[in-house]
Amino acid sequence: MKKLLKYTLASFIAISLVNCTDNFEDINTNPNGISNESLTQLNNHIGGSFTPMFLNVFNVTPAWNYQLQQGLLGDVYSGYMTPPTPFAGNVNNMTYALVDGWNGFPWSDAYGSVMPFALDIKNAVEQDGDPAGEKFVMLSNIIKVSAMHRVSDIYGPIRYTKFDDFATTGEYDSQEVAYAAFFTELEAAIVGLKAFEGATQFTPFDMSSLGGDIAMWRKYANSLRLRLAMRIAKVNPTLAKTEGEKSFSSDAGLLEATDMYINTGFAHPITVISGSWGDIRMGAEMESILEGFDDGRKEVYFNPSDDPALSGAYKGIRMGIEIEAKGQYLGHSSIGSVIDGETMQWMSVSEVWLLRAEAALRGWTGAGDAKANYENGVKASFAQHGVGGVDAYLADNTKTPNDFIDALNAANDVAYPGDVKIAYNQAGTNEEQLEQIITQKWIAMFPDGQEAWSEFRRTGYPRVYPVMVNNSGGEIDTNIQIRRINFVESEVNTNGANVNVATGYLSGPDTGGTRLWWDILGSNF
Amino acid sequence: MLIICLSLQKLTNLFYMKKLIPLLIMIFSLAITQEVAAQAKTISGAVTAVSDESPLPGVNVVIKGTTKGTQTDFDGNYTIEALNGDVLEFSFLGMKTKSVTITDANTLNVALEDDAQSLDEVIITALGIKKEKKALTYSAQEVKGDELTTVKQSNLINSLSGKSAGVTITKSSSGAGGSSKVVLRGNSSTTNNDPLYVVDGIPMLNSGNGQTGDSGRGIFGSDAGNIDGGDALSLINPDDIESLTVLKGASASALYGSQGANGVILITTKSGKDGKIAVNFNSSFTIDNVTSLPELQTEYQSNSVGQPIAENGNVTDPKSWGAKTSGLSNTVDDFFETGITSIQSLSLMAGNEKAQTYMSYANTIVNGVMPENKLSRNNFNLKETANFLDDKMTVSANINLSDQRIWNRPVNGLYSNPLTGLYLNPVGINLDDYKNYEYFNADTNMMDQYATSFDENIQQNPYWLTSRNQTKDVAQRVVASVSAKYQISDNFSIQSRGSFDKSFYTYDNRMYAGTDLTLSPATGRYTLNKTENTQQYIDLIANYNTDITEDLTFSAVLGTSLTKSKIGDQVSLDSGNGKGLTYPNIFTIGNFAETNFLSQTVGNREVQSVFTSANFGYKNLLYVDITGRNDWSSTLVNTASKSFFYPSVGLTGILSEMFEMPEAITFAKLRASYAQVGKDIPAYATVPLNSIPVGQTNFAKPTFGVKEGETLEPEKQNSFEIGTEWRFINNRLSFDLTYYNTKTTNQIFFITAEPNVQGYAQNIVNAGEINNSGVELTVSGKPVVNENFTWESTLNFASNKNKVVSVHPDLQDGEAIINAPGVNGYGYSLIEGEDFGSIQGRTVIRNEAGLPIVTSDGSGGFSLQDTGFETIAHAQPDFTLGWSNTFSFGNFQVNFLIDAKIGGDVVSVTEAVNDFYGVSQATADARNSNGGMIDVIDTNGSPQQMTAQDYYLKTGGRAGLLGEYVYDATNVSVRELSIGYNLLFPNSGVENIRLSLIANNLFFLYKDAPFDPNIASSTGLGLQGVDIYGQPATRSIGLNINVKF
Repeated sequence: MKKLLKYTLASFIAISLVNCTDNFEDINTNPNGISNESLTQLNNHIGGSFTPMFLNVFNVTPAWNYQLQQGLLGDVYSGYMTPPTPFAGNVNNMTYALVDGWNGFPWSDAYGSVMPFALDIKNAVEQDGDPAGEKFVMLSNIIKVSAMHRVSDIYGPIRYTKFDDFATTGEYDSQEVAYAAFFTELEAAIVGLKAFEGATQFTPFDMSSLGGDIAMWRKYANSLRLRLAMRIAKVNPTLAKTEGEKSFSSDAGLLEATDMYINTGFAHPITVISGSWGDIRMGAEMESILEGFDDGRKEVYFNPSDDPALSGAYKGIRMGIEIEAKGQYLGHSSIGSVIDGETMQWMSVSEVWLLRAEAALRGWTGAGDAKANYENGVKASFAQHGVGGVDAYLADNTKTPNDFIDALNAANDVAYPGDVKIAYNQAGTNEEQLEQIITQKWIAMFPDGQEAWSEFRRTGYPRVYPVMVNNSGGEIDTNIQIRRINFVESEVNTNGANVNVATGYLSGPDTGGTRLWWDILGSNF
Repeated sequence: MLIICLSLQKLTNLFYMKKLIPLLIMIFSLAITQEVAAQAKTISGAVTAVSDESPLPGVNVVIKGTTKGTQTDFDGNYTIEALNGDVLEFSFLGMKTKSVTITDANTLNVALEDDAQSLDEVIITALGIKKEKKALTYSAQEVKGDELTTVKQSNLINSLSGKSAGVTITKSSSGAGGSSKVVLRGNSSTTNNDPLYVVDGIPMLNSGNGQTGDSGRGIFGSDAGNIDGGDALSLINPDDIESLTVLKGASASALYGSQGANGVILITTKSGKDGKIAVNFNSSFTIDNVTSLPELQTEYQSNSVGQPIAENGNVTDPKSWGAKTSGLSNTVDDFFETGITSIQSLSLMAGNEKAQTYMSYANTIVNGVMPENKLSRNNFNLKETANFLDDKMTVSANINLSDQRIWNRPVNGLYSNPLTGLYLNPVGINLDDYKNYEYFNADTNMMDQYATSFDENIQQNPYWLTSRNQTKDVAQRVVASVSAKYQISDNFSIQSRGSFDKSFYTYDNRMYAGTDLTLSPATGRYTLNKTENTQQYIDLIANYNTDITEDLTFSAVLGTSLTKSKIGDQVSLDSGNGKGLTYPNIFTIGNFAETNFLSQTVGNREVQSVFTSANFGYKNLLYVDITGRNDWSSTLVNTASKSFFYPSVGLTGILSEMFEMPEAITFAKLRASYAQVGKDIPAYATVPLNSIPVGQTNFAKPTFGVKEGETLEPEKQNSFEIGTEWRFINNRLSFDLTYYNTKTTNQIFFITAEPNVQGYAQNIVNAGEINNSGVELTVSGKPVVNENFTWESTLNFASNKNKVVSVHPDLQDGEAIINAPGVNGYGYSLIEGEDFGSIQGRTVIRNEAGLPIVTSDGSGGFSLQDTGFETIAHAQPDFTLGWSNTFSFGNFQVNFLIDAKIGGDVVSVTEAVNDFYGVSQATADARNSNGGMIDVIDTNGSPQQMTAQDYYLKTGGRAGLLGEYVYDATNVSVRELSIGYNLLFPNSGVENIRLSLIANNLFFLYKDAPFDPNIASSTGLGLQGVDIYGQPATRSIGLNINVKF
């Protein structure tokens, strides 16, 4: 019996010894995951991090993510497009009832897929200790600025300069501080990358039209600096001029022949939103201006309306009107061939010429002649879209934007509150010349509504029609229009103290009615 | 099979486990002092009743102090192997237990006296350990198999509703074969509140193919709707169940360690019996009809009526806000079909003293109430038990096979759900015109969907969805288990069990070209998912028991187990909603136009355990129970400790033995127990890796991670319970009352991430405290007992209060968001100070007179002021009641069960969307009164009016103000009714035929909600207390025939 018990005890110990937990690490490792170590193969620990950054400045898939990141924000507030769909009983962003559940996406795309990957690249380069890796940090900073100025132009203060250190990552920068950091990082990249011109290591990871050419990336960064310098022309004319003039004096040059776009490998999300879902249509302002100017680009930007009652006209919808059912305006013009293909435009040559036109108007050294730049800009846009007749167009001195006639409801009719013309009028006042430049830049930048909305808020051009229905409960003035988006819910939930500090950086309450730092009331000059 | 891994460190760890050592030493020092004597012999005899000398079948005959025993056969005879000097205990419900010491005689006839006080029933407890019911220190409620099968349901566990106090069962809305949410004593965990199911001592893998355990997918559902893949429990044949024991508290389940934190349901299946041959055939056939349909209006037509209809069937206005017209019809009854549920089962039992066999086969066929929904299930079960080596060794083997096929399982959620298009059909547009759901599209040269609209992408032609979005679900399961027990001496045995539990799920979904383009590309979409779940379990347990002195009994268990599981091992082949299929409507993976939507997932886990229990009994009046278990879990790598320990202690006093009691009190007992259990953490949580997300081409960083500077720990639950049992007047009346209190801490939360540099969207943290306390009461009695008529009645009452005491300190406003509202109107959170599960929604702000407050919208209209997202409802009932009654007169027997859930609120997205579209009766009523205007008041206090249409467009809809759609969940229903008649055939081949008329979900005695609140949108955590176009409840009426040979 004692023997038997001994055996029993021994077998228990034996089984208990199977309690060997050495393989627990293996068992608890997801076999379908990708470790950071394995990413070092083919340098993906650095290069692979560029892909999500390229795909999240504009998020391209799934399409609804783009819709919430930009499609129902800048794309509609710029007057470019508007949905025929009365989402949520027509109580939504379009009628100034800001939907928090939608508006967190520009933030989460940036802080989930841009900022952390830029930090990864920086850390990986530091760890490798190879000075040749510095170019990756500078290139990723250019992409980071491309993304984050857009985020800042939506909310205002953002988490930026203190992001990389966990202890301070929750702290916000005022928009002024963020912009100063953008300029610093761009300057460092433009200067620093010169030494790497001709290097080919970036080529396999470059998803852009610049083809891994470092010299081209310097041009793009320099052009981006010009865009940001112009953004602050009202709030800080001195700094704007200094930064803008750096762009003109830099040996990097500006984008003149190559538009900057990303080959995403996915259909442009607006194809899905406009085509498959029927959830976006031409904006009323686009109809007024393109039809008023008889602009050939309308055939590229939009499709003739489907609704037989509209007899194939290019017909837009005014944002923020009463809509009862999607079917009412569904047959209006959908978005045209400009979004065919698998590319996403970040910056066009045309935009750069038109920035140069405004710089000339403002008298920045090295900017050249306003009229010549203006005409180059318009020509570049026509060329980009393969549209003819640009010379006649530029010579047109009579056409003005049409008043808007709503196809279904005369209550929504509105006169275009301006008489901007196409042919450049050097004799006009600065405001008149600026309106021409910005109106043409607005047409040229389509469909990047985020940038168009920012420029509208800065300059007041083109004339975006006010909403008819305002569900903001008094937070957003119908005539002053929406100026920003309130801070996102997830930040308020987890980072409340810092959000409170950030609210203090604003010129008013944390609502859509408060102007951003660079958005100054008053004349443009 | 076992590989010995020499790890000295582990050995020391194990033996220096301070809490385990004293127990181990005690058990083995006791064991070693025992010696064996004498030779076994066969004792046989007959057991009769003293009163009328009739033979007593089913008397338990146990060798005292062991678990070895047998039962008397139909004629009251028994045979058992025993030794001279052994004491045989004869026990039978309602009789005094008699103990007889074995002498030289080999025949032992016994007569038992009636005694209502006898409570020496044996109940199966954790790990399959049999215990005297009176000695239990915690609450355990047994439900006999026939109570579950009188009115049969296609998922066995649904039959438990109302039959056990403190068990809340919520069916999913996916019809036959759907999973069920079972919660014992309230929700306590943020991750998983499912109890552990243990079949014949072996933990069962209950992971399904769909919602079980996941947090629900939200209001839209996935592109194919919210799919319920069913759970493994729904594959069990109810006729195989001998009994089911619910161990509600942690004390009862502490021996199951991390798996038992939510309580345990022990299932004992039928086995062959010595000396008995029995054949049982059962046939049940019911007709099922929908009930609780939403109320739709027939007064106001759509503006589409009289307008041209497009080639694809689209109407001009999908909503129904047009003119008042008479003669409209808007019936959806035509769409639903009369369902049929047919369950046939056959079981065979045979055995002698050496070997026993049980075999069963069951076939279930269901035609659902939704068109094209069918289920076919086959179950096969074989159990073989044999005794060897002079009956010292018992080996049993069991194999269980099931195969279930479901065509077009109903979904809920707004996407791909036929019910949206059905209920929202524009009033005045004849749905019959859309029965032909497709038309020839000349442009594409193929058939295309013919539908009234695709509004909000939530509507499609319901007939298109049932015919051209076809799904097929196949679930196959194999469970093989072996158990061997060796009786080393009279009081020492060892036992080992092993099982291999494997299930295979296939989900095949074919969306034809023409399906809404949000959900499927223009060429169609094909999804084929293959999922396997595997669990391997092995244990080794030593049992020891002895009488230390004449008054002091002792028994102990020492064991170890190993559980390896591979859950959700899935290959998902989906052509996706990007480029879709190359050639339309060719559903094969070679036709996929892109591979971005293919994915692979698997969850691996290994848990190793050592456990022990010791029980002391003093003079049959005081019992002490101590257990301890240590688990090592693979999910705890990269945390402070890979192991965790669970202790429990319990005490029972039999008051009626201790004190003199009045004669009316036949039995009284007081018990108290304390336990600490827990739960390990989700697999892989501590090893964050990059991944390639579905639909993407590039890698993404982990979406969640542990908070900077924190490490994870297992969830911990401290539970205390105290209970008392009383029986009066010879058991004519009895009650069992339990109070419990549990505190669950270190909950696993996925919270919105703090600002971080890794790009985590969520942090996984240990936090929070959730308290549950409650009372459970079972009262049963026999109000009438006489020769001709008996009435037996049982009332189960349970009340659970739960409170979220704290969530994570970092979270603003004490709110942990489980399901964010996103673009819709429904959210689900855990909020400090509130009940578990706060349903979040917005509500119209009203003035003191109840008028909605509005602001001008600038164009002559009004915007409604709303509260913003806040708590609008808690779904849990305040208390539940189940009242079952059996009336017997002659050969007739009538059973009915009334089930009540009192308190709690539910939310209906269905009503909100129906209002938005103007199809609900509520919108017609509003249009019929007050000139069709809703009185409101502006912020200046001036009365204003909004049209009913404007009002409902702003309050209704999926993103509407759901605070307006909250309903009292209180409901009382006649859940089960059966009227049976026994035909007896003495001296013939047929023993008994029982015919019964059966009904299930007969009607509600009270209900406020516009749907059946006992049906859940998801059995996971995130979609509770909300109806989103779930399949309506069904009422079943039918016939059951049971033939015993």
